[in-house]
Amino acid sequence: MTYEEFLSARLAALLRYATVLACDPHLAEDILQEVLARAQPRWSRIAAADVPEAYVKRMIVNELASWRRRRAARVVPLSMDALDAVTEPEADPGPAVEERDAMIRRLAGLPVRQRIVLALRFYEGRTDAEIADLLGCRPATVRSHTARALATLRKDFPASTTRIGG
Amino acid sequence: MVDEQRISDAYEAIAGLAPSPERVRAGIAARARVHRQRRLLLAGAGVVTAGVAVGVPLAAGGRRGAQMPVATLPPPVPQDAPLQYTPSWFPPGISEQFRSVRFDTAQGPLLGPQPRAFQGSTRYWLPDGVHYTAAGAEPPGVMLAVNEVPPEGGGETVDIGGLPGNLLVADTASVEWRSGEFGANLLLTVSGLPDPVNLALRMARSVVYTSALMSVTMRSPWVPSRLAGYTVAAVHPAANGWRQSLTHCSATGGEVVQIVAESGSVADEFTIHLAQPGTLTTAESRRMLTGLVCTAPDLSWVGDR
Repeated sequence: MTYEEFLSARLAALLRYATVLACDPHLAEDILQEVLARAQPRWSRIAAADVPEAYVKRMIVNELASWRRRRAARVVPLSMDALDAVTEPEADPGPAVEERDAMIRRLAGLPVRQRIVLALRFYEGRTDAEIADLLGCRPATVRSHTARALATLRKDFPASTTRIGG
Repeated sequence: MVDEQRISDAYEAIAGLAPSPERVRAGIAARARVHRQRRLLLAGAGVVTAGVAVGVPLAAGGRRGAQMPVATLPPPVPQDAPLQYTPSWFPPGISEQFRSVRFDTAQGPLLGPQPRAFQGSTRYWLPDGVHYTAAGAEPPGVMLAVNEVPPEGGGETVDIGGLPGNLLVADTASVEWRSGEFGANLLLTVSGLPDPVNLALRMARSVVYTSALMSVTMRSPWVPSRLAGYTVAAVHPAANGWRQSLTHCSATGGEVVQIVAESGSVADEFTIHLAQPGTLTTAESRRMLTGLVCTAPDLSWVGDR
């Protein structure tokens, strides 16, 4: 598969993936452009891998984590523009929409590793072992991130909590 | 209530905010082009990252006096090399902080505006208070590169004083065009400054030919033949005074050796080391270092426009 063929087939999905992980479409765009620009000159080697998309997704995760380290002082998760895009079209949002928007804000406020773990689990449907492989850590670490993230979410939504995820 | 469905719904909503692939694809092309240009410039201008800046342990050590011991057939030092082009308009608050020139290793720099193989220059104008550092990413400010990178086309077509140019906007705003009178490839890049696109266009449109020269104050009397393609001499102010480097590259740019001279904390003393030893043998490294000719650089241009 050539680089161009890969972009044609997978760019939209990669954008959704990056947006979910970053919780910010602008940051996702920046990160994906950076990753794919770096991938292009070494595409022949990446394409030789069994699943180039997995390789690129790993680059996105790594780039997001390092991006956060580099720009932690400046980046605010989920920009107000992005939040407005979710909330503005609803003139009179019902309780479900309000709760969903509140959940988005809570997810966006999680530490980056916890957010990545939750996104991979609940958006991508990956197992702890798969997430551990992607992040380069042990499954126990993934479970720890998951537990901490869910504990934070439960704290923010204390009423009628349903126990999930270990 | 926190349940799996609510979290999944929230992520689906976030995914729905993803930008359009068409716009991102255009951005990837622009950014990839900037990456390629930067790689070429990094190789050419002798800018090295911290990861490869650790040289072989062959530092010549601090030497008193303005000139290093000479091995064989020392050429005169300094030698002048043409900068060729310069912006004639600058925004307030920036000044020149870095210069490099590139020339054919065997011939040395040749004067005059005619296009010559390998001959080019790179200059940086940085905001007040920002200092050029050899390691790290592109500094904020303005860079003008003359004959350093080939034009790649693409981007948005713009008019540069009646000549067609390409405007490339990614994490920087770059304009590349070909000068009318002498056919030089010009690249002007603005990064980390307000309104970078308009700034890049205005500065590019002000670029004129100049007879100004850069004084090259490092010379290698001997260079392994496989590295005798082109040479880049660079200089900029540093913490203790100055830092200058001489980068020898094979004709294809595939092999690079860089020698760095830095002023020390004691007056008239400086150190020399191999920042990028490439594939030099120990004997070659020793011969290059002991034969090096080096004097303190001319920094009278620093802080000017």
